[in-house]
Amino acid sequence: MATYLLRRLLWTVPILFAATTCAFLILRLIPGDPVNLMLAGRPASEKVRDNLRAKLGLNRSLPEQYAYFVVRAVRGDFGQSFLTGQPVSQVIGQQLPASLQLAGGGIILGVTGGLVLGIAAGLYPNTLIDAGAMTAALVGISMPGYWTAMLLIYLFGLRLQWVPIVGSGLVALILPSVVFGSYAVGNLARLVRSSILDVRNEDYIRTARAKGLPERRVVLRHALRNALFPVVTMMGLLLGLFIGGGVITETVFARQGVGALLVNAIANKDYPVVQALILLTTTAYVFANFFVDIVYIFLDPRVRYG
Amino acid sequence: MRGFQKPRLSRRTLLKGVAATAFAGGTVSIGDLVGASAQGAAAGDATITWGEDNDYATLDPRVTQSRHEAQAIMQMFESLLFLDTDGKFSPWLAQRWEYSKDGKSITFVLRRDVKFHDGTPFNGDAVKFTFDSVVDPKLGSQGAIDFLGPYKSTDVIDPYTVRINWTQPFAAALTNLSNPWLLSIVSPTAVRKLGNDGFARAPVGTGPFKFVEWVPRVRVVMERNDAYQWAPKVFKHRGPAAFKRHVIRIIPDNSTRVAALERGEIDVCDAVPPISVKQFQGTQSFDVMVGDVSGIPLAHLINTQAEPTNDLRVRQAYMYAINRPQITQQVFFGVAKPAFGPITPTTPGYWSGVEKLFPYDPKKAGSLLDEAGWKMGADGVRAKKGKPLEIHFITLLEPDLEVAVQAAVKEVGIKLNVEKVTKARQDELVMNGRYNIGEIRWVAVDPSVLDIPFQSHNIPAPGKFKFNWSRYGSPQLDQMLLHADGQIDAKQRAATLGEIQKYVLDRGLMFPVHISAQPIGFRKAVRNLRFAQGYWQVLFYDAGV
Repeated sequence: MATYLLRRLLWTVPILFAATTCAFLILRLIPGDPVNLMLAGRPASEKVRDNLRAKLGLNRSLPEQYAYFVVRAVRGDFGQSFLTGQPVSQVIGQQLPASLQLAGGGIILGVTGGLVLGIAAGLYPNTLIDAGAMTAALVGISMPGYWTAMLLIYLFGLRLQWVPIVGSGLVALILPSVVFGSYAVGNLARLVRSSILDVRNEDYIRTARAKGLPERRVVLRHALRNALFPVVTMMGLLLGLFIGGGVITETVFARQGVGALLVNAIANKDYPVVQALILLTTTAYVFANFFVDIVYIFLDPRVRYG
Repeated sequence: MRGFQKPRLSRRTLLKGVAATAFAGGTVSIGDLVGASAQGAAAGDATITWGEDNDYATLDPRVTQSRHEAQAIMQMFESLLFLDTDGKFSPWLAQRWEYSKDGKSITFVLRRDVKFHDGTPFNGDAVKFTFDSVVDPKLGSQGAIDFLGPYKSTDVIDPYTVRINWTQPFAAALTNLSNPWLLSIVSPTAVRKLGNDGFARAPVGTGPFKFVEWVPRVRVVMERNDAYQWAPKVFKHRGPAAFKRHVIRIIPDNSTRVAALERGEIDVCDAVPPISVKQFQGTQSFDVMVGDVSGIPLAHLINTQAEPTNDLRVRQAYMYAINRPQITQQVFFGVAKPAFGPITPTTPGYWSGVEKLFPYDPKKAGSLLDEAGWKMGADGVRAKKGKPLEIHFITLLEPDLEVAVQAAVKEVGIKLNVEKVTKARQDELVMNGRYNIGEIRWVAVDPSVLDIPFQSHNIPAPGKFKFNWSRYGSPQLDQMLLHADGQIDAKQRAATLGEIQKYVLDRGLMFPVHISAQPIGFRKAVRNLRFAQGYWQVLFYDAGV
């Protein structure tokens, strides 16, 4: 099994390499000139445009640009942002903490909410509680984040004034985390509910009931553990999503973050920033899934790899 | 019997704890935002916060091309002369100026009491350094370099006298040199110490506010320059500013920014959407001031090289078919005014005769189209030889407006296909000529902005992104534009400009729609906000709470 895990770890290198190369190529193949986009369409003279192209290294041939990129990337140097001239690692480094905060808040609220709703629905299926929980889950999945954010800002920021609208600190993290975690809440709630319901009819559950254990104990102690497997898998997926997917939340709440940074960089064809961020996101996904596999080993004694 | 033992962490205690933490956290964060504004013990310690709708990439006036970055830059940097919104020049860093006989140079006599924020004295060397560095390709200037025009050199005649030389007479010279966010003067010491990239992130100028910090994508913080004594006479205030801290908070989402103003987390709100303007006007605590932006209004540029708009009659019919006052009222709730000429009434050289051209006349539109062979079909769309009258419209700036236009021209039988595009797609279509109509608008203070859409060398081509989207190249028009650009005499220049305005409208190259409005929402406690030249940015020097 150790060899299996080691092989998995080694595979990450070619995966990351392939992802960033794809990003490199696709960026340069879609129409749109970064110099033109940077100038926001100003009627800058040819002189200005050529100066800028030279400064950004865009006047080199494609293979040359690629070579430059790879050689530097291996050393951890991702070049300088086309837009601001700052080193890319600095640009991302400034935005990453806020994204991690938001991801953390979103995961905590999302997982807590998802588990609570899912377990409640699983414990009392086909009751009002179940209907209520599943409706809340549906709302979490379906409502566009932008709309949820606006409603929450209006209610809790303007009317009740319980939280700041564009503040800093822990309190300002509450609303964005709710918005960010709402998708996870919905998905997890449904998944947990169906897992519990599936497991309820198993033999070992019948044994537990026959032993005379209260129903709640049966579910929480015995059923839940086994119901968690698909949940862990989903969390691996969600973890990866959290890193890059915060653009709407970040924009509406005027927060720093790599989500909005990525979208902005793509729109402006800020190649170095986009390439570095795709590498970051791919890394997050790969390691999140790797982590999930390891968790499985502890959760399920039957699991043996390799 | 076991006595009732109170659980160590009762639900009540937990709730109290959560509430206390939330409250503490809340007051700390709201507290350090709203700061001492209005409640400040001395109003002189107050903080005034501006909510900005767009992010920043640089704070160097020599590099920027963004009217958003301009908002921050113009609080910290100053120019040789001051141009007010009424079109009048007055002394600023220079006390007086004089044109040379051949019109190719201007000599400026500079103030002697000015210092940069880092203590460096302001003098002729700083002026020369600034302009020479603008034209240096290594800097990568995106705006200033074109604004300097046919710049040749700057001579430092003595420490407080400079002569700026151009290769030919440059009519926009004084106007452009008065621009406080493109051609303002930078501290040579700071640039040499920090390098160009470093200076862009820690700018040093002579303005009433000095740079403190820039948290990317979140805020720019500036503080009062306590040594400031050289404000232009147009300002009511004298000496250092009346408040201490000026914060620019970047809030790209419109509704969030408006909510932040309502809540008091910002004091002044950039670009209030028209629909929200009414909610602030006429209230007790808030007001809105609306700037009618100078330059090119929101206008449609009509492709003269693509069918069916290659026919002058079709272009003119399009222009007669749209009721501009009505559409503007409907779409902007009265906040923006209709436009009738290629430059707005607040731009120097505006010819009021444009207001009589192309009034709303659907009957005339119909007869022009009939004349051109486009007969009305049973489905309400005109056709010629079996082909329907379809016009391809690409919109990036104001899709809501263009949908209203689509409905309007339908009445005369034109089928307007409105395509909402991203910037990248727009560029692709424009460079390859695959469109009939596109939108343009330009914030500018000098009528030389007309070069942008009408000079023949600005016709786009693959790899060349320019703004002559009507693709009309005429030596006569080029001559008129060049003449106006080099005409130092204001009256003669106005005459040529009038001819240009009539020329482009008669030939259906451009259909002006509405003057861009810049609604600024603010708390009434903030006094003396002032629009900068062009009516887009706001100057904070006079302001106070």
